[in-house]
Amino acid sequence: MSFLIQLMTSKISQFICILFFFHSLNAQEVNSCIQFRPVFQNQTIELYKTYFQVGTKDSVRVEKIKFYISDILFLLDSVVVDSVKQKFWLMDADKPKGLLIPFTSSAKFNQIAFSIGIDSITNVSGALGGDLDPTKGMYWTWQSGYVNFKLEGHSSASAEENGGFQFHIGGYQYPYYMIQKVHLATHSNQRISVDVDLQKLLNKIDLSKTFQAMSPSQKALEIAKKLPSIFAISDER
Amino acid sequence: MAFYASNAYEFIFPKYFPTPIYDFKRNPLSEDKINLGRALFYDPILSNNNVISCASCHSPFSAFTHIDHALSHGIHDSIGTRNSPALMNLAWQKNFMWDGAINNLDMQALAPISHPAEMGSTINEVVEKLNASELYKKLFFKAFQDSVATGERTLKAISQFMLTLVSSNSKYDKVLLKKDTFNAMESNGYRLFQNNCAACHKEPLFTNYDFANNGLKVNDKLKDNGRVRVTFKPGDSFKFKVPTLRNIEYSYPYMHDGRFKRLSEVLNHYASGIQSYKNLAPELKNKINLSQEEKVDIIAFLLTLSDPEFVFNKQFQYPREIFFYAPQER
Repeated sequence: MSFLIQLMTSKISQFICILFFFHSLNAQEVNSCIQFRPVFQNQTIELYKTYFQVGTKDSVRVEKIKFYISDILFLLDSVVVDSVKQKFWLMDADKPKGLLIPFTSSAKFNQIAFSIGIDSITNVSGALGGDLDPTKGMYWTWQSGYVNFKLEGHSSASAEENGGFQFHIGGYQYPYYMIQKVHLATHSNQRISVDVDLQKLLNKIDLSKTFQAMSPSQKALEIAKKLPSIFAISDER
Repeated sequence: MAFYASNAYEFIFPKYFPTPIYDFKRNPLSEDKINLGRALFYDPILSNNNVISCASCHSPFSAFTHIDHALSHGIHDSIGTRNSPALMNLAWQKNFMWDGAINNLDMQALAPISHPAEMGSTINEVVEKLNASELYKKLFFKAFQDSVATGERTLKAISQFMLTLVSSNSKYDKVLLKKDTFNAMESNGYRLFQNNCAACHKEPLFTNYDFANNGLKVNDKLKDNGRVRVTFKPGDSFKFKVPTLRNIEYSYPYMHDGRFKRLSEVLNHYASGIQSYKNLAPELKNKINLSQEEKVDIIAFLLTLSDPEFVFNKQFQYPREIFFYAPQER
């Protein structure tokens, strides 16, 4: 039995995906991964680094990006052929490998689908563990429910007295059902890199009017609806 | 590492109680988990300054409420905005807090733990403290066969203790089981109760767990509009959860802001104090006519809902055997 380890690194230091190819009883099974890559102005974002918007010259400093990815499916020509066994993943830009979802699949696929956030049944299922543990800081204490997407930082465009912005997007009850679905066409079976374009998101929010969303509400729902459009396969950029 | 199963705990309740709502499959009861939950319930380690425990506002002798306090006080003597609810028969509740903001018993503890006027802490801080405690490492190991405390395990253990707080041995229950009989006042009171109160305070749990506006005058200082904060439906303004009347003798003062100290004040409100609201509970739209004698009889009946066995049950009280006999393990 022999196995080959191939290490691939991109120019951007945060993006590392290690692939193992080896012969096993499941000859076709391949270990690979989905790597989320929060970007700003086409670069992998560095937390706490100040970026400047081209047109307005507004400064933007992102300090926290955390979001749940759930129910990851693999499709071939719109037919589901496989799924990632672990249902819920907490992505956290502040943790090493915090944006990485390793998986094993023998299926051929050309599309992936996943949800941003936690479904309503899980939201009413009581205390849960692993990535869903309330110590992960993604569960509201004063009112039950998971935060699907958390984005925090500072910007000169924000009307908040300290220039901060805090978006905790979550909610599972009508009419503020915030979970969002994403479908992406993939080119590679093994290494799937998904950009999360934060500049695109912040451009769609008028920080001079909306700099905070801390509960299920209409403005949070409007931000939630913008989320699927900021996820894209990296190769396409 | 030796493996042994925690002792399973049989959840017992009367045949005339409905099916519990809590999903025990997700959190099967065991003696060791209940013990851990009981320790956590009585331990001020849950608060930022290690002074306030759950029992600070939920004392066993007053049916797990904060007797004599209209509004509870938390760390640094901060005063909250709502009266501490009595805790019993929680397996039958579908949501928690006066406005139903919490959708599962497991998650309820997060609210007081994190509230700046209650325990002023976070679940992360609590878990960190528990993982640094030799006593809790032992208790978690006994309960979960792993000494590591997590948010999930901490909350589930507290749930387990709270679930054991079943009250079903009052005189009313004994009458239902034909083991006792009401006297004349209690009997008349029961009849009046069934005609005027039971639509919301439904037997045998003495609540329908619904939200209602019972016509209380708005407290301009507290400005608490109740359920609407959770649902955003305008029709839910000033609606609060219908509380259980079991053990009502022990759990004064009454209402979501503890404005009534005595049951006679409560009955006076229902008989002649109801304010008009567009969304007043339909059950209260018709005037409730009660003479003084009738009010006294209703109170006599309400006293038959007292369950001293529940209130004085040593299994629900401060666990001396866990805290006092392991001083070097804290």
